[in-house]
Amino acid sequence: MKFLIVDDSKAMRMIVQRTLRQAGHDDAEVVEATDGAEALEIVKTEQPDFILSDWNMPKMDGIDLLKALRAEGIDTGFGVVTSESTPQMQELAKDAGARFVISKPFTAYDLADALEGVA
Amino acid sequence: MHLSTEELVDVTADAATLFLGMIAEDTGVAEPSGLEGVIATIPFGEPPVGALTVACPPALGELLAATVLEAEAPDGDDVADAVGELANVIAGGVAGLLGHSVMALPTVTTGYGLAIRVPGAEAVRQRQLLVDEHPLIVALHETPAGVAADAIAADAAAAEAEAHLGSADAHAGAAASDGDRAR
Repeated sequence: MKFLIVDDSKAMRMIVQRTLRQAGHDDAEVVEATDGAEALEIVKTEQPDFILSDWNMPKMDGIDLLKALRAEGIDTGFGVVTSESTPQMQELAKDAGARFVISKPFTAYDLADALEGVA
Repeated sequence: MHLSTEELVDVTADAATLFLGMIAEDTGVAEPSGLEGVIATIPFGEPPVGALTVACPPALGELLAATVLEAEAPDGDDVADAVGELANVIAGGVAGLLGHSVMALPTVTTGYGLAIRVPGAEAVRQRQLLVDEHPLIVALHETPAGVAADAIAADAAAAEAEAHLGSADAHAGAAASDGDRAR
């Protein structure tokens, strides 16, 4: 299974990748993008099975990435991993088609639970 | 909404655990040291009503970066990224507890004897935690508007809780009355 991890922080991309493996996806193939705009291009070439994206990023944030994907007819599973998740953000993400929103800091259990049945 | 010292410490400790897998121990309020430090600041609220700042010695910044990046010798950019992201995670937790959102990216500064000041805002919480024998300082600044908004929200929450309590009392009273009638 191929995951695309989108986060402007290199440290957080590594943490998400490490936690993904701890969550039982040891054999996952991982590709990375540093913002939504880069992710939009990488999705087309790498065709990941699932996208784990930060919310606040330069150039294009996570919610605009999700909307852009859906506008282009790309329905790849999408989960938001963000440092905050107000009820308004949760609703906005779900309305745009996100499967889940999980807050940092998160554990391997949180990620495994969120990915259960969707990836 | 109101942030207690315990909540600030818990949010910071949880973030430190995510990054390092280590326990962070609360050691109280930090005193100015004049030593070299890495400081990451991130405003929160829309419009901004405060800022969350994280400060640590370069050695802890290097440990953070080395651990998460699995690198032996992280460079300055890696340290800034790791400390900035740690601040981002803590700011997200703090802002969420205060009912605000974080819509900005962190700013990271390195230098000697840096004092944390946020013009127009006051320091409402400051705490030092010890991580692998290194100090990790977290400070919360809020503008008077932010503090006032938090107080209004706290009053509203208290009024709502009181209303619920009153309602629960009424239900309890009704139940007791029903019970009395049943007997």
